[in-house]
Amino acid sequence: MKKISRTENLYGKLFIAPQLIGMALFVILPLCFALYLSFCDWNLFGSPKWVGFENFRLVFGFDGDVFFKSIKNTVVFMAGIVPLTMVFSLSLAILANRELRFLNFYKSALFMPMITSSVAIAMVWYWLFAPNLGLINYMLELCGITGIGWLTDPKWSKLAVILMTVWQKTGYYFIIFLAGLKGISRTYYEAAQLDGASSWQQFTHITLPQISPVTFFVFVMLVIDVFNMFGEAYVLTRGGPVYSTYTLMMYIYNEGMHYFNLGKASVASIVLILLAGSISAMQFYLSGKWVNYEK
Amino acid sequence: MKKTLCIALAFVLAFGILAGCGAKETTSASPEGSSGEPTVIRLALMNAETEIAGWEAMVSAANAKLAADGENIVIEIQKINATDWPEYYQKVAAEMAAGRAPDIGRVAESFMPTLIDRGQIVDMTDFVNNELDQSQYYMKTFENAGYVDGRYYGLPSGLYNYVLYYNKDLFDAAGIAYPSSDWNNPTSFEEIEEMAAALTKQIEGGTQFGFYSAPYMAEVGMYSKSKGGFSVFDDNGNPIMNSAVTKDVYNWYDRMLTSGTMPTPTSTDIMDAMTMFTNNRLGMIVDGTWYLGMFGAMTDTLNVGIAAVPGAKGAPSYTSQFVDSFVMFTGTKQEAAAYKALAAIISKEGFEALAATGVGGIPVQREVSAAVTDTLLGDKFSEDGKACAKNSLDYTLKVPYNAFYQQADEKVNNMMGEWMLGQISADEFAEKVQDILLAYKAEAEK
Amino acid sequence: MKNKSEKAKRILSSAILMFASLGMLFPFFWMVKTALMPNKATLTYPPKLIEWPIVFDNFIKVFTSTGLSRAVLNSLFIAVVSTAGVLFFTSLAAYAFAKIRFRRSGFYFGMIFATMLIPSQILLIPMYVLFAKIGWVDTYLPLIVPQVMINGYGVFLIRQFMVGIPDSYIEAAKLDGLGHFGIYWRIMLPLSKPPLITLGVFTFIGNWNNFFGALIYLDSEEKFTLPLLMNIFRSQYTVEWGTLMAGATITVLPLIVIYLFAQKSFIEGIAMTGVKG
Repeated sequence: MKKISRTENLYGKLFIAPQLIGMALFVILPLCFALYLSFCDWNLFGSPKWVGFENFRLVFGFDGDVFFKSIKNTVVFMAGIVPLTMVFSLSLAILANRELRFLNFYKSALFMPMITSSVAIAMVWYWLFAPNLGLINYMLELCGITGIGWLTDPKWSKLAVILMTVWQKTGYYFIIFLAGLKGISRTYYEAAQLDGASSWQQFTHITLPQISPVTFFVFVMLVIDVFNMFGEAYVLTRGGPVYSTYTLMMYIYNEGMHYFNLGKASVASIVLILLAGSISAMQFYLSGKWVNYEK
Repeated sequence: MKKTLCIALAFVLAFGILAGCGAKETTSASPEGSSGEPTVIRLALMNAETEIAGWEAMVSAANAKLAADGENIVIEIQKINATDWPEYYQKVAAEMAAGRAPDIGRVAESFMPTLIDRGQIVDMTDFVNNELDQSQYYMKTFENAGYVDGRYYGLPSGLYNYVLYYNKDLFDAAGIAYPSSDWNNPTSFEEIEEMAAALTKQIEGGTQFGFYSAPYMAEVGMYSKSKGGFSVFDDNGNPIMNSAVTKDVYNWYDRMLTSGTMPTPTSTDIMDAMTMFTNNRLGMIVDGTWYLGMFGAMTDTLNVGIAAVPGAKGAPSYTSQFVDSFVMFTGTKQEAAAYKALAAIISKEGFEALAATGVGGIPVQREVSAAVTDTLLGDKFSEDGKACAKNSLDYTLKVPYNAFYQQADEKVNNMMGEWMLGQISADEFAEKVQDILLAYKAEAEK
Repeated sequence: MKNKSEKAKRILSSAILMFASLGMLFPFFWMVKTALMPNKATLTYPPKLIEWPIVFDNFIKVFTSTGLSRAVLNSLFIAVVSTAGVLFFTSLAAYAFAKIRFRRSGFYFGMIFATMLIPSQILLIPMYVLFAKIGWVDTYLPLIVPQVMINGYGVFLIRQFMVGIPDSYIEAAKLDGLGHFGIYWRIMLPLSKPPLITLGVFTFIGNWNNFFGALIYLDSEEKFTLPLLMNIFRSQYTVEWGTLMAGATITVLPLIVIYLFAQKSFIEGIAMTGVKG
């Protein structure tokens, strides 16, 4: 271990100083207030009224059935969305990382879900999932499967939300993977080809290790994305039927933004921060085993 | 040397960004009010392209009236381009917390209990009782919105309610008589079932349905009331959603849902019931008078009749009303001027200007209401239908909003999936709704 | 033989990409299609792929809405300033975290990363109160400054790319007499073009489309942004679908142009800086 030089120490801190100042002002300061509110009842006027652990009782006790269901749903969504999105976005990025006709068209098309109006997205997915007239059920009927209530049956609604979310996230992470692939030197592949390595060997021995820092980024961000899942999923199902697609974030949104029970929203947020934080910490802890950082 | 230069450059860039925005701020700072300056009353309004002209006309009429009365008060509209009422409330709530809430605003009925419960709007009882000429207004409407324990918290901006719309062409094709437009002798629940069955058939690309009315608490309560029961809560405020009358109503829905004469609320995801109706694929629908203008404009493709909402045979039928209110936000430093502004807004002149644009529903100002209802309805509907729409005002019923209604309603609607899938019966669902309401009530009383 | 299998691979790749592309494009196509229909007919049944006759009324309505050019300029100002600020400050911090050894760097990185885990919903009211206190409400500052000053996503993204740049480049630069800012400016930034462009595009889109922040923090109409202005085609009870979608289409068109432009410089960036490794 080299001793840390004084200039290095100074410049390191100088370069991150703006972020630290911003964090103190725009995150820690408001967060302290929000955490204080978790022990208070506040009508937005005057000073918040101290109520002790009342908000905790309301979230874990009174709303318990919905709240714990929302945590369970979040876990299921994570198990479905994270791996599927990673596989699809990386595969497409690898396919697109070569000389192909219409490559710009593909790249632009995959970018579209990011900028399409979420109302239009929800409208199209409604139509795809519709029980009698929807495209998905029509295709299943051709295979002899009939009548799946994608958005009405709690058994299937989670899968419907997972499908839509994977569709939506794939294009986004495709772009990030593509940026990662662009950074790998051609010379590695040329050398490997001279050695007679197969495509699969090139993939496992060059591509995967080389982009592992990017893969790690995508992995970590997808988990956070699932914790933050709201927008289109909410438009599609409103968390129903029977709370089968209700997520922790929807609970926080409803309490915080809809009913302005800021105390309850803060309590639920503490749970979310602890859950997401411990998973991220685990990911970072385990990353040493598989992420290849250049030295 | 180079190092320092680069760091200095970074700071200059950072300050440049801040200064660039800061400069904009100073140019827009509003002038401080001096003695000669008028008192500015800020009115927060939801900004929707189809409606804003109406509210602007109302406010400029109010400003003209204030000037004519020699008041040095000017109402300024703060346009909030929100998608829906929750977003409007989010903005106002943030402003409240920072102590810079607008003086007055226009708020949806469903938000009133929350605002009242938290003391976020001003009790206007003294103003309503002492300074408002009550003979000019439909006071019943005042009592149906923002009125708690004898105290007034809101001034109605207009009135909407439910009616039964029906498709005359589909009725003619099925060879059955139109539903009744007499509120004292409405089409009965049983007759609606029969009509719905007669109107239902398979057509190109799916089903033509007979009847739709959302099976939410407000509707179930309204029908229970018409059947002689209560709407969601009894007179003592206790929930009665598992009473025999209410279960009857739930079972009425259940029969039409299972026989396929009414589309389920979930199967309407792809195309809501109103779209089915406007595409001639639904015979009858219970919905709000806010659609009258839209139907008037669609006469070339749609032949709509207006009838009384379903009720019990020979008994009057009730219709839920929706009243948005002008309110004063707690913390305004210009209460006296704000009252004057509100009085000017809901004056005869204000409502006349609003009604001329066809916005805001039925005015609650008597003179204006009488004069404009005919213009609002236009010549698109039959005389019978127009009379029915006008008469509906005498049968309005308050949606029983209270401090926990919205949250309980949301939970009820989310749990409805089990009933819709047939996993539990209508009776069991009624019990479940009752349990949810009881739990929220017990919590609210703690 | 080799050529043949290479060709087959290409055809297969193209087929898969084409299938995925059409799937991703479909809702966009739907949005444009709805925008080209009269409002009355936007929800006809059964839905058709193309509805004749197409009309341009909705686009005309959007283009003639008052304050459009002003709103475009406002949105552009916010997006450009934010993107420039975010790129500069995040890459500076990312360089420090990736390549400079300083005390407690892991701790600081963890803190900055953790800011991403906090739901913005609970910060809204405290932030608004803070900005009202310092007089920033109804200015663009609350829409720009926080993300520039603290951006866990950007720092993390750029850092993940910068750690992949070999230390030998930095050692060589040090021998050439470059200081830390010089290394950052002359070596790290040019080598990090792909992630910087990616972050730039994402930041630009996020700011261009930022509806909620603009709704909460902007009061004066002349400061309204494009998404805020385009939101008026809804009302309490009815929605003008066609006009709403025309507004959405017009809002995102500039983003497509920017993305295509970014894609081009993306490839040029690689060609110019050479390759790493």
